[in-house]
Amino acid sequence: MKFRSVVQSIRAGDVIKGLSLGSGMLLALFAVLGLALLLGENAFEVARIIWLGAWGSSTAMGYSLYYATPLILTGLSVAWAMRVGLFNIGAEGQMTMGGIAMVALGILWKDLHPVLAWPLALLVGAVVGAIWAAVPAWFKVRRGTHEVLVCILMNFVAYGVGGYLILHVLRNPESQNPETLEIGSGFHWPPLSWVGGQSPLNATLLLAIVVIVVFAWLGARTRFGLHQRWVGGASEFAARSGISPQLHQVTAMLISGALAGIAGSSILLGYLHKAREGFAGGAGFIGIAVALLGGLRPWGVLAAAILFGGLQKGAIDLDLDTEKISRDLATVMQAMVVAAVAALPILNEFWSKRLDPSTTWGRRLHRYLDRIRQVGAP
Amino acid sequence: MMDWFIAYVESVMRLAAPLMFAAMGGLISERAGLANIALEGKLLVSAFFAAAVAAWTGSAELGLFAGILSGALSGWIFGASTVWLKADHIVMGTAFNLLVVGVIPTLGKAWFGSSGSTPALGSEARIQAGIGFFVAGVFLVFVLSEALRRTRWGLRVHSAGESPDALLVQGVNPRRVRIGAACVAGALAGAGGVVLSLVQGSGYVRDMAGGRGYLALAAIIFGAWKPFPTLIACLIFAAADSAQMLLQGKSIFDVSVPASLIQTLPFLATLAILALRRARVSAPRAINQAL
Amino acid sequence: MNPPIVAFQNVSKRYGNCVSLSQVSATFAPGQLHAILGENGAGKSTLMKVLFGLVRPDEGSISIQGSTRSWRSPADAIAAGLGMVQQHFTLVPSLSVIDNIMLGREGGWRLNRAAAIAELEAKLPDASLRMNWDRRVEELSVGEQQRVEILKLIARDSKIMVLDEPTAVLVPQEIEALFTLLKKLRDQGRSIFVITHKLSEVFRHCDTWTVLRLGQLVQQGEIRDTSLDVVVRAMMGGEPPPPIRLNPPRAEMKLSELLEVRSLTSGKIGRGALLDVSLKVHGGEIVGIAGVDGAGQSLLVDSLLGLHEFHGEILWMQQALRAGRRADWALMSEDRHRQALWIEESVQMNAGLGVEVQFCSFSNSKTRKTSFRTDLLSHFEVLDFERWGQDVARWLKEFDVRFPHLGERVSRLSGGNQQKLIFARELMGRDVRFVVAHQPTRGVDLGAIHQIHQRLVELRDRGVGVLLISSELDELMALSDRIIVLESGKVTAQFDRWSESSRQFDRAQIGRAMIGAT
Repeated sequence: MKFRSVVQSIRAGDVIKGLSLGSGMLLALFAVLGLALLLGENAFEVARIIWLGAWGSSTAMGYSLYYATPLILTGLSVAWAMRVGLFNIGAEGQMTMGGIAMVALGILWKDLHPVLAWPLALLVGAVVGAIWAAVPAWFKVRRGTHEVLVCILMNFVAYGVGGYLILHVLRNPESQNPETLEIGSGFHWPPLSWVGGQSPLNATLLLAIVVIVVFAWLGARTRFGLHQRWVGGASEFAARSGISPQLHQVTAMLISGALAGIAGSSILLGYLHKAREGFAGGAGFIGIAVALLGGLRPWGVLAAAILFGGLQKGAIDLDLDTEKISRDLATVMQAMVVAAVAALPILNEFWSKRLDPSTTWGRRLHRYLDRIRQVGAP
Repeated sequence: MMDWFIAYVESVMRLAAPLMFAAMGGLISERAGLANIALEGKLLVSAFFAAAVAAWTGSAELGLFAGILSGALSGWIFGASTVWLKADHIVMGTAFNLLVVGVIPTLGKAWFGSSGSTPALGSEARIQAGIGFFVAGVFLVFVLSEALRRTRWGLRVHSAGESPDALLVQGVNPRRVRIGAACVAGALAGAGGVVLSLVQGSGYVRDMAGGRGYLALAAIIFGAWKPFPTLIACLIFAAADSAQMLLQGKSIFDVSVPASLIQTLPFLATLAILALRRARVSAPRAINQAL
Repeated sequence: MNPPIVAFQNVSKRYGNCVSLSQVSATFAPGQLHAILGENGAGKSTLMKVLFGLVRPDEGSISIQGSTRSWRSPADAIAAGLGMVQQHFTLVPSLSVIDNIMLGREGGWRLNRAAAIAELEAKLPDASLRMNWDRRVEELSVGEQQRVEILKLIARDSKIMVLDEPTAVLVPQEIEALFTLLKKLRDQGRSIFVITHKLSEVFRHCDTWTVLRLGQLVQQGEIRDTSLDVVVRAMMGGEPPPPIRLNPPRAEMKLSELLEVRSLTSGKIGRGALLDVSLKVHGGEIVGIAGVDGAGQSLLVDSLLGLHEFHGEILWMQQALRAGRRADWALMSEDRHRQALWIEESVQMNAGLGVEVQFCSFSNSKTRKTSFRTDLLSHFEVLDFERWGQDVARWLKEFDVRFPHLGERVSRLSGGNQQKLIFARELMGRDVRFVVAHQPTRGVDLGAIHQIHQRLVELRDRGVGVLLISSELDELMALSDRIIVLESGKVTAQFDRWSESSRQFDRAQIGRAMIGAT
């Protein structure tokens, strides 16, 4: 029944939106494979390596999901802020600082019981991430400085401060690598070997999915979520209805920072059990592509994160299996996805013109949708 | 003491040069209404191509030329794609920067077998300019400030950023003005990139811009989108940067300050300076508006 | 008879599903002042934008002086001697007057401002058009900015001038001056097109009239052999609605004072600031605020809503008003698309936003309407979208809003339907005691205007206080009990419909007060 009403509510505008996104993604894919071709690689071979590398075995799948876990959280972080009209490009820094705070707690309070350790670590990570995000929020509201600039500056500060904390304050003196001491075993999240085989996939994936569910509900069903989106979509209207856009923007930025702050949990609490320099590995930036590809909606973010996790895993195999290209091709793919989403207005215009009711295909589409509406599911 | 001071001033001038070129480029494109978060990417592209051409040909001049040309070309790519696709400038700029981060190592691996860097350049393929680029940069600020006020180009660039419709009804295509400004901006940022890889460095190293593109953007905001105040902001950032370099490995009051903390100095200085004034008041009115 | 200066042949233009122009054919004689008439959305602006090359027609062609032309951009039209003044001025506010006039025809890569000024002054038809060429445009009044726009066309020797709603922003005296200038330009041999919906000025000044309705050409004619009735009927497509009648207020209404503003000062000195403004609104009266655009109206509203800092006092029922909008106020904002609608969202969403507390799961709409909960918990209650849909469907029906389905994007609705939707939301979703109506009929068709006016008078008769801010003097004079004139942020005059003295409504006096001439 529910499915039927969903199908019935599809309108021409939704079809056009879907086509725009789909064609944009295809263009992005062609651009990347074209680049591979240009460099003298077989484009189909490249696509095959990526696909098998990502989903070819249960271990490969586990790795893909493991890479996806932080992306789910950073993607949601970026998406939530963007729906309120803020571009949080600082998720990388917030993730770094939040992650180090979680590890620091685990080192300082080694024998804490998991019942306390799990929520406490997440709380600390979230709070520190939110504090890091509060700086751009303050600049935005009080100084009118574009949040993107301040977020980027805060990223650089986070690299410096994070590096200092890892290399000097929390460093494991016995290790050759630039890494911290181990956290207490109470902070460890168990591996999910029944899904991921030999991969480092762990229970934080479930945490990330729960977070997605909570935020999907919060955004779609509650007044708070509605007000947040309202401020993003029509801030002057919201202000004139007695809602403070500034307050909502600050709240959104703090939420976004908190989500990014716990994004490192999969790497730090679930796998490494310590922090290494640069552990975030660009997840904050990939989160931008994830958020945009996911249409800024929580469920979309989940799907996009899994796709990009697979891309990241598959691209690693390019380092070994091809001569001329490397895992950096994944970054090119992400860039093209962001560009394609940025170009959605023009793609939308293109498809609207093609599917205008006055054209043959437009007439067919409308007739088909009308028929669906009358008889229910096709 | 005096020696130390002179060395410091000289180092500020050296470090200010790429920042100034990038900032002036960004200033032109922002004044034309094109928000230019892609400056960082342009610095990297031109630094890479300048080093690549210099490595192949062994000629510093060709490297300089390639750097500026690749900067202008990437400015055109960014400007044209943003304007014609009616995209959000910030999102498109982010895409551009990401693209550069992915493409350069890919090309590096294909051409030089190393995804991080280009081969080290001999002294004949580098530019020995001392503070020449700094002097050129100051001269550029003068020229730019005059050009914005007294030439047809300046009038049109200003109008494209403030009120593109006014250009349209006067028979001038504001899209073309914006794309043109993006090319000039790219070429100037390209000169900045050349300074990074051929003057200060000897070849391209991964992420060698190190956030200077963003610092340049901050300088524009602090300078209220005017050339001379922007120049001053660049000098302040360069001063913090070279203080950072001097302090590395030294100790202050017998406490040795770790390098990673010291490196945040220019960014903290930038944040402090941005906190001093309201930004939005003087921004071009039509910045980041689709045409 | 000369060949027509401009002729349209079967010009059509569609935007998505909306037909903006359909098969319009018309000819216009040279050297005349042509009035292009029609309601909002009739297609008159689009037709003129086609002429100027800002809009490309889907089919049809234009010919200028007998030869068929097609424009790729306004640049081509400009080269052919056309010029257009847009309804929203296209000036660069931060540039000087002369820079704005030079833009696009700078004559060389270096700017020679002195030469440009000399050239312009030689072309002026009238010495009174001179102004301080070095002043920045943002410092000028609306009337002066319009003059700069016309000077741009004179400097370019435009033979065909198009002015889109040039009188909408002017007071009666300025309108007279504008048409005097236009007639002078016409007598120099230019052909001038004026888009407007104000018929009185057309009949006083123009030579021909052309009426469009729903994208089609209805009728054309010469002013001197036409009566007003014919034109009105052509515009409306039927009989015009009867004029609104205001009953004298009942005596007991005067007692309830709702809003009092005491010496309100707000904003930076300059355009749009408020200086020492005092006014009162009682229950059961409509208080009109007259003034040219930018006389401080927006800041007055923003101050009432707590969106802008101010000095002075705002009292609600004799008590100091706490910052922020009260739930029992209805608000029709000036800029509908940005300030009163979430334009990318659905009709259903827009019809309930701001009053959506009553759709929370644990509430019944009766209690919610009178007491708006704002506690923290209410933000995390679940919204009942089903009830939301049912309730707003009822409201919209009550207010005669036409829409295809509740899920349609509100941007697809016509201006009149959008404004009626806002009225429905503000009046049905709240227990209203006070209404702020800022330009409630701007961009709205005549039928909807009539309904909106009726609603406002009904509210007044029910004892609600109404603050009506408008730049349409006719609207204010038809609806208001009292009119307060704002000029450069100060109250310069007050008028009372029901007073016996000389303070009764008088168009010329109000107009003079609006431009500060006493």
